[in-house]
Amino acid sequence: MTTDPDDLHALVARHFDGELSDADSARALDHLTVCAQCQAELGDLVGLEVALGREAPHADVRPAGRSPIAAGRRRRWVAPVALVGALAAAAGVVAVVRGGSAGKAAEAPALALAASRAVEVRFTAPAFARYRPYAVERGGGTGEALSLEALARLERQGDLATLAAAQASGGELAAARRALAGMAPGPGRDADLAALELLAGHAEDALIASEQALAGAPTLAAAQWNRALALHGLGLELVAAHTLDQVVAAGEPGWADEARAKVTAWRAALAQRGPNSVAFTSAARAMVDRTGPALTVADAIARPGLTRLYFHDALRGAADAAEARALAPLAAELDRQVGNQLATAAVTRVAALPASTWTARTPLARAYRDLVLGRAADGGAALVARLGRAPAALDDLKLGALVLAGGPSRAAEVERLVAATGDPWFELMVVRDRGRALLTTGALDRAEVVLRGGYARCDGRLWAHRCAHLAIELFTLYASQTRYVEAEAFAGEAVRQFRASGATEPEVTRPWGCLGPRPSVGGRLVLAAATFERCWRASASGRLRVAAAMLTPAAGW
Amino acid sequence: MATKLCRGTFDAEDLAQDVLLKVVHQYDRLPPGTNHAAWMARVMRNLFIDRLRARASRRPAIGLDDVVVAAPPPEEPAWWEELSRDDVRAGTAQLPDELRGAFERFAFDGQSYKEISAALGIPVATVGTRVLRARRRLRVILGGRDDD
Repeated sequence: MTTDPDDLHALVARHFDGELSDADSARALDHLTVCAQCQAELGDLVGLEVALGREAPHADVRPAGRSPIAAGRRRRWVAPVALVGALAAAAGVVAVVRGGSAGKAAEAPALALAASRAVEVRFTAPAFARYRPYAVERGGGTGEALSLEALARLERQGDLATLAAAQASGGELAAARRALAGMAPGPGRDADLAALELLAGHAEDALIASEQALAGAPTLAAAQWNRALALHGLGLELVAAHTLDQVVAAGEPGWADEARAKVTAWRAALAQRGPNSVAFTSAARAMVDRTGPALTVADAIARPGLTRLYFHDALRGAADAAEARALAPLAAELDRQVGNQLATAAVTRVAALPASTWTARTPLARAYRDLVLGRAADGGAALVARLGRAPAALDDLKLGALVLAGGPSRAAEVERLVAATGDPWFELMVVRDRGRALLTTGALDRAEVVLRGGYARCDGRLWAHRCAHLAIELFTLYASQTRYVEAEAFAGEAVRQFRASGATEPEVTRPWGCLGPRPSVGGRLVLAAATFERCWRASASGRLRVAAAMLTPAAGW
Repeated sequence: MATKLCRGTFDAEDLAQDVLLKVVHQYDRLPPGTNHAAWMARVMRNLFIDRLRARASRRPAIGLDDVVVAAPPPEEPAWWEELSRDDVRAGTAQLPDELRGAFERFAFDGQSYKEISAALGIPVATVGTRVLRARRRLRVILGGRDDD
């Protein structure tokens, strides 16, 4: 007999409702004699019944020929309801059937599941690995009912992974969690835990569990699946879709198709979210590539930070004076926002370059476009080399290429070029890079001085995009020193600056690790536990407390 | 109530009679203001469990005098003691749609699992799960403990 209180609770309730056979009633009542929890629950059943004022049993289970009290006579009523398990099987829900020759108790039973699954998540147990389409139940669903006999058998066999999956699919999360607790630690258990957390509505915890699973088993499909659902639940549709792309690529029958459908739907939903969406990025890239018009004043108002980033890329990528001049309206708006004339001056300067300069600049500008748009196979190394010999008239291009190509050896040259611009937009970038480099080398005190000095210029929302990044670095600095008060303060600053920059959508507010007590999983940095804002909120509520959060920026910042 | 507890085990009327005898014996000792229906329900549950225990230990069926009944008040009132049918109905209204649908039919319309299964087009076992979950949620909604 199973000793799982949840299952036996269910039995006791069904006995009370007259929905059990004699055999199952006997099991329920045997357990009731020794289970205080069941007795308490029986008290609840009785109490609810009192409240309802319903004394009569249901018509279909009332025994025929019910007689008045007969002293000394003990009568047994026969409930005319078949075994719960048998009913479930007849209804095509879940049943346990024995594999191979019948009747040998030692043989492992095969778990025969319904044609569709009741939960969107994935479990690692082999019985649940075969694809079954997800059938959405109205109102959230109570899941697949599993016969109590099946659960008991799984428990006896010690097949906790299957037991947990079955219980979770049936909506019995607490029981499933207990089963998981009995399993050996490992990626499989973590992936299943992620599924449980998703079912419980804890997307952040699900993300953490799935990250941990993937740290140990990077291609574990169930973990990828659950991670994608967790990310999607956190509003990180793009990252979620990217994760699910891996499931699509793996090509498992059925699962790949469902993953593809989800990815398509998620991306379509993102594309319809107006300017703060993939559509914005597409438009911005089209501007750089000259396959579309320049971004509009409205774009610059809604997304000042990213618009400014793409504006400079577009100006560097201008193949001739006309292409540069086409950016003048955008430059005027960007200047208006920050109260200077630097963007307009940059447009004017490039548009006024002599024809002889354009001869050299045009091919380099096209190469720069390729670098910005991810089409440069060498990551910009060749372009940087070519620009190393270029005249000062191409310094703007050189700066852009050095920043994109990256590398500490280029920091000094970047700083020199930035100093020549006198543009706070670039100066704050240098401050961030300098601070980040000091952080990397462990010079925390100096990093703090540099970053705090830079952040002192972050008055209001003028340079929100850059200041958000400075705040992130400061958050990292303080979190790594367990200076939580300051860390939280800068987490809040980062959120405020992100909002001011218009970067509120998930694909812009990149996912940041926020794993609290775990600085890394399996020796690698963990990406994307939650959005930065989510981390901030969680820390503010004391739930994650920021702790030693790892902040790993996604590519593209 | 006794019939629900006793299905397939003891004679419900016998249990009910024992409860009534207990009430008669102890009625004078109940403090003023005692919720009689609630107290009787507790007595019944306790007698029922005691009978089960006796059966499990293969002792002969014990008489009323052997039964130790949980002390009547002063005991902290159970969460359901002051509830009326209307209270339960109000609590039911707060349940999620699917739990409410199954539970209303079960508790207020008197339908069996099987009838609900047919009406809602869901398996009988799912009806059981929904009714069970509805009760657990009601316990929380109506002021009971939350054991999760």
